[in-house]
Parts: sequence; C-alpha cells; structure tokens
Amino acid sequence: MQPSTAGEDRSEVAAVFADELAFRAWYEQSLPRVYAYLLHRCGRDPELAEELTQQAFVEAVRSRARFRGRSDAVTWVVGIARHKLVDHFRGAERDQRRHAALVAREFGHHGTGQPAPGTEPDDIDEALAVLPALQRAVLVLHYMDHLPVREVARSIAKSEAATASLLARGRDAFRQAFQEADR
Amino acid sequence: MNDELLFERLVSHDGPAAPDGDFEARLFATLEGELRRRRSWRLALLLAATLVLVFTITAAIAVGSGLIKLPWVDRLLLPNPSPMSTIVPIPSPTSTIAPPGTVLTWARVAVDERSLALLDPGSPDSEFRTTGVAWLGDRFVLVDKLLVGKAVSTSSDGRAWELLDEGAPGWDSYSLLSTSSAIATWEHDTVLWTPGVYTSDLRILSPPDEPVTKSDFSGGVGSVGIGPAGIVAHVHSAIDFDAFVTSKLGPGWVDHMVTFSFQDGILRITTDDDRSLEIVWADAGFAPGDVADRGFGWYSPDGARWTPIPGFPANVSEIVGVSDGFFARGGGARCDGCRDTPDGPGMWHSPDGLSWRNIGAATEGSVLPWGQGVLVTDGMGRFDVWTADGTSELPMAGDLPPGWTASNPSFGSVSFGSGPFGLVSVNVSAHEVLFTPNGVDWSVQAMSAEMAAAASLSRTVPSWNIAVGKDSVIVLLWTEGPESGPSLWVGTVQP
Repeated sequence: MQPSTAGEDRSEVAAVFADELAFRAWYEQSLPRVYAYLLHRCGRDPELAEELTQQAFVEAVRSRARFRGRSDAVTWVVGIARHKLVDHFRGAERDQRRHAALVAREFGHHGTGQPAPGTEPDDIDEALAVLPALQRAVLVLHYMDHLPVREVARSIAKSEAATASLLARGRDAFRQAFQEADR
Repeated sequence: MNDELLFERLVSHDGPAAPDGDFEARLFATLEGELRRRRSWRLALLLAATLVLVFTITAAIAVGSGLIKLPWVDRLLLPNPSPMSTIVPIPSPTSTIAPPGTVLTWARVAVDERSLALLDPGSPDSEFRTTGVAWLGDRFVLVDKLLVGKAVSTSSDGRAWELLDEGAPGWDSYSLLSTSSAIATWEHDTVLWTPGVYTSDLRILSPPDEPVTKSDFSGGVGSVGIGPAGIVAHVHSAIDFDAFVTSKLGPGWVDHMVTFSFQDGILRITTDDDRSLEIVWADAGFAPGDVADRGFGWYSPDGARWTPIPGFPANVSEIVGVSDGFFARGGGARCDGCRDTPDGPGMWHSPDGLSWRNIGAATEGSVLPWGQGVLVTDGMGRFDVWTADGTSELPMAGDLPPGWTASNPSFGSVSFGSGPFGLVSVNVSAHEVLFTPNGVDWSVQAMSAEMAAAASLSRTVPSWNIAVGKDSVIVLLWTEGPESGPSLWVGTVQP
C-alpha cells in the first residue's frame, strides 16, 4: 500500500461509497480484518463477533462523512470496531453491576453461539472469559491492541489511575484464571 | 508458565478468521440498503432545503421592496458597515530582544532508517509501536519498538547517532526503556517502572552492568526518585480508591465522607454528620496492599538493599531526586489540620530519603528536576521552583508573552522537559517553543514550517517526547501523511 495524505484518504473513502464496485472491494478487504479482530477479542464467540461486525460496518456507512483521513479506509473501520467492542464491554459491565455489584469473578460473556470451525476457545480465551468485563476490556486494549494506559483510559472513559488499577487487577485475575483453566 | 510467557501469549492472541458466507452476504445487503436509504434522505433534505431557500429569498425581496410591510422592521438596528479589521503584527521576543544563549536552532536529525523506520500508515505495525527518547547522564538513547523487534540508538550530542547491534554493551539495559512507562535518572543510573501495575517490577539500569530488578514490594510502584542519596520508591495498593467507593455508592447515594485514612492497618473514616468508623484491616482478612491506602515509602542506598521509610508522606504522586536530596508531592488526603503530619497534602523534602518534612502546599503540574530543587510546571503558565526552603516563581514567569502566561486548558498539546541544558516546552498546537537555560533568560520561537508540519500528530507524553541533555535537546515529533511516524529534532544554541 502506498502512503497517502489525509486529503487523499478522505477522497478514497468518498470513492468507496460512491461506486458499487469500489464499495464491494473495500467490503471484501475490510470484513475479514474486522471480523478477525473482534472474534479474537470476544472469546471467539462467532455470534457476538458477527453482531459487533455488523454494528461497526453500519456505523462506518452512516458516519463516512466524519472520516478524518488519518488512516486508510480499512484501518478506519477496524477503529470503529474497537469502539463497538469497548461499548460491548461497558454494557456488559453495567449488567454485571446490576446483577452482582461486588462479585467480580462470576461474570463473563458466555456466548450462546457455537465456535466457528478452527476457532475453538483456547485456555487464553477461557481465562479471559471469566474476568469482569472492564478488566477484560483493559487487558485486550492494552496487551492485544498495544494501546498505552492513557489511551485505554480514554477509550473506557476512566481516569488513568483507575485504568492502571483495573489493569493491575485484570492481570492478577487473568493469571489466576489461566492457572485454573490450565489445570 | 511464567508471567512473561503468559502475557506474551496474550499479546500474540490474534490471527486471521473468515466470517461465515451467509453473514457476509447478509451484511453486504444491509449496507447496500443503508447506503440507498441515506442517499434518498439526502435527496429529500436537499429538496426541502432548496424550497426553504427559495421561499426565504422571495420573502426577503418582497419585504425589502416594500411589497410586504412587517411591523417590526423599522425598529431593527442595522449596524453600520465597519472597515475591514487590520492585522497588526505583534513582534515576538525572538525577533526583538531574545537574550543571547536562548535562541535554539533546530535541525531534523537523519538517523539510520533502522533506528526510526518510517512505516506505511496503513500497516498495522504503525499503530503498535513505542518510540521514546531519554537523556541518561551522558548520552541520549532512542528506542523504537515495533511488533517485530526493537532498535536502540545512542548519541552524545543529539546530532550523530549510533545504532547499537543487539548484544552490544548497554543494549540489554537500553532496550528495557520500551518496557516501562516511567523513568527517573540520576547521572548514569536510571530507574524504570510502570505506575499502577500491581506486579510492576522496578528496574535499575547502570550500563554496562547488568540491570537489577526489584520485584517483591507488597503493592504497585507509584513513583520513584533517584539521586545521589539513593532511591526512594512509593508503593501502594493497585486497587484505587475511586473504584472501591463507586462500587459501594449507587445512583441516589450521597457521599458524606469527610476524611479517609489508612495507616498502621487501620481504616479511619469520618463523615459530615459527626459519625466515625474505624476498621482494623487485619480483622477483616485484608493485608497491606489489598485496598486503597496511603502507600508505603521504601528507601535504598544502592538499589539492592531496601528499607521501609517511617512516616513517609501519604498518597505521593511524584518523587524527584536532586543533588539536595528528594522532593515528593503528597496529595489527596482529605483531612483537616493535618498539614504537618505525614497524611497532609503538600510538597515534602528529604535530605537523605529517610526523614521527610512538609515545606508547603503543592500546586498542580509535573515535577521536574531543576538545579538543586524541582520545578512544578504544566509547561506553560505555571513555573514554581521548590527548594528545601520553600517555593518561588521562576523570574521569567512574569515576562512571558500571551499564551504562555496562563495554564493551557488543552494541556495535552504541550510537551516539556528539563535537564542540564535548561527547560524546553513545545506547544505542538501553537507551533511554538519556549526555552530557558536558567529560568531568567528565555525565548519563545515559532517552529519552522517543516517542524510544524512534522508536529501534526504529536503524542504528548512529556517524559518520552523530549530529552534535555547537556548542551542540546531532542524532540520526538509525530506526523501523519506521506511520512507518517516519528521524526527526531535536535535543538542547540548557537555560540
């Protein structure tokens, strides 16, 4: 891929949505990346990954005018997918608070869908799945997406101190859950 | 599996995945429908807007020509046309009376392309990189870490850089710079840690010696200072107070707490209706470090031997080691009349790392080493110098031009650092650089067009963006566009 300027990227997105062939090409290039990104971060639950993928693409179509041209059109929709993932984690965290405010270890998204062939959850997925939603969010964003704590904090709308704390607890819980899953 | 391997697995827990074919087709149809619907709405909106515009113009013509008489039109005050405002250039200090020795000359540093790879902006690698620059006593060190590996370069003057081969003397130590998010240095010694992480290691680098790791604190390392007197570390619970309290307080609850302290294993809470509560933490099955607490202080003369500091200030946010001992800013304690107790907020000083004294009410801002004391600054607007005797404002503070005299509401746009060369503050939004070698003489310069363009996407973590050395400063700027990625700039004073 050749480097491009912000202006060129904006017109690239405009071209994507103006022409059916270009739109299909962008869709076919973006979909596997977005789906894989989400699948590996939500416990390899294909139903949840599909739901979030759909939300991300619909959002991309609706908000195409706001594209700032800071990345190519594929990276852009992956960024939207990240927001959808964080929204999902935050929603799950609200549910968790509603049902069991102080019971941290009993929550996890246990999807109803069957694993896609070749993508069965492994011990890492199982360890992640038992974590409270926000702890899982910060681990995913920090370790898998390589975001610094400051940007993770911004994503989940928490202070840096609270995020660092979540990260610390998440690491401990993840380590413990992994050891249990590994037995 | 040890921690390192476990988190390596988490980092690499990714890979390709193909969506189901039915889903792919279904989603495509949904998006096509969405696109069509948006186009239809846009057409309808365009039509409606056109009709409104035609109606408005017609009405305006009718009113203006007197065909339609509106009762309130005569009472309208129409402004007289004003002359075009003229732009009067305001001479900047740079162009008038910048004292000798304060005007920086900037040059973009050409480094080995392996040191600072310019990546394709579409590459996922470009999002997953950590690049930082630091001054470690006698040399600048630049670390550029990508998913696939890391490059370490050093320079004594900031102009000529040497890319170190893996395994070269110092490589092991310098490459650790990319693994921690906080750094403190004193001459050739460096301490690295990651604040807030419960299992954070504290690493002490004295290249070319092997790094020393201290990892058995009971809690997370919050802040560390290193100086000629040794090392002081603040260790605290990783469970933050906010999270603890908000999990208790739901909607409609009112906070009645006035004070909250945790010392010697006892949690003390008082409320605004004169109630109080004391909980002996051990009785509740907790150990130090289990909950939000005031923190613990540890002192080491050499990085190997550590001892707890009795009466260490509470809730310390920053510790800085200088030639005159240590300064620490304690804060957040909600207590009345506690200023002179270790629970009191404020600036604290210790000549030896073990005995601490409150020297005044601290202000907000980063705490940087400054001569024998420290400078509390936000890079613009606030320049408070602290010594063991108290605080004063840098002499230059009252003379700065507009824009540098008040704290910037968008604080994130300013990066700054201090060192033997002086204080350098870079405003990447206004494209200006403030430099003072001594707090008295100063200059504010506009960036060159090339430098301003390179700053278009600058990250703003001061300790990693700016390294102030002995006679030069290195600034790491981030840009987007054809050369997306970091660029390195060196500022020097012309003789």
